[in-house]
Amino acid sequence: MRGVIDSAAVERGRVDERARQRGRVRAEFWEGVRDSAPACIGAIPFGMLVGVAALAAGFPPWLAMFSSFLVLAGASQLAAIQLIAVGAPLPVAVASAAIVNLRLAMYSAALAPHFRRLSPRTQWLAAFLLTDHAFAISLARFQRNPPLERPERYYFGVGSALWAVWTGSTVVGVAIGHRLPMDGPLGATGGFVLLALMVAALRSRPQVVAAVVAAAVAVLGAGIPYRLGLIVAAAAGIVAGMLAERFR
Amino acid sequence: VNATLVLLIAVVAIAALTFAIRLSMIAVFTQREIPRLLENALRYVPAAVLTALVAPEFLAPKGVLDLSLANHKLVAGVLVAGVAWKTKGSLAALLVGIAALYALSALSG
Repeated sequence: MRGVIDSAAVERGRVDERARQRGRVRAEFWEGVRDSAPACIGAIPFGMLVGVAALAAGFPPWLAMFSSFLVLAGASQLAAIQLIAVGAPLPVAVASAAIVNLRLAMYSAALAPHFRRLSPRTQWLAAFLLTDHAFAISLARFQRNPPLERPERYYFGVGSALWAVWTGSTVVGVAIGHRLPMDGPLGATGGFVLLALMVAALRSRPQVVAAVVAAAVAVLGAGIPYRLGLIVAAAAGIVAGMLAERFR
Repeated sequence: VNATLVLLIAVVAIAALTFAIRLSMIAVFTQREIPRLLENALRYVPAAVLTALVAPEFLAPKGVLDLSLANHKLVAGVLVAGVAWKTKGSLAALLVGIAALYALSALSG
């Protein structure tokens, strides 16, 4: 008799524990949404700018919006749009956009260990939502205490908020962007947020070395065709950081 | 050829390539361990890649290196970096940056 009561109590306890855990996991998703707020605010003018630029380059409104929805990578979208606007061949525009996005493979590698427990289909969704901001915000949180129960839920909170805001802001840009002063200070918000996330990522001297070298090579290599300067600068910074670590 | 259809193909091609890039390493390194050398390299990804991405916008907004005070983006960027370093967040930094750009363009007429 006693044993029966105990096992019932244990079962109730297990159910409570599972419910608590589900609550925590949901809370982690919303923590991600909250932490993405500055990046979302910064993305709004940039997304509008991409919408305006796409229209100017000859995109029909629906396609301008659809490309933000589907591509979700502002720097590459703008690079392709600018090339299309000046009449470059489309394969060149596509290749340039892909090269600008090669850096995402590095984020993909850095986040992979945190996605091991996801099903393949959920990994595809995680990949779809992978952006500079989602990567930088999530990795910074993963390295901070207290540890997350389900890191991927936090990532999905950040990523889906950014996706929704990015698509929405392109829609707004397509609708009313041509009436707004997009070349003024508002056009710089995306860069400011990335700069702040970059500064937050500098936690050791070798990482500072990596950043300084990457900046120098990026500025020197700005004229390299197909936007290859970006990935060359990123690689140079990584190598410099590793060397600084070895010879410190 | 229909111009919109061609643009649509370009957008879908960019999206497909970008998705493949995004999925590539997740697909590989959720299945196996990351080699030691690559793991070391990945420690420098946030610092190096984010910097490579933003540096030209602040150091050379017009395409050539400009370290003068007339480069408003650089002045605002230094303030943004300082605030981000102090607060370890990006909201205050973003607001300071926008305010600085407005103030600088008002001051320089």
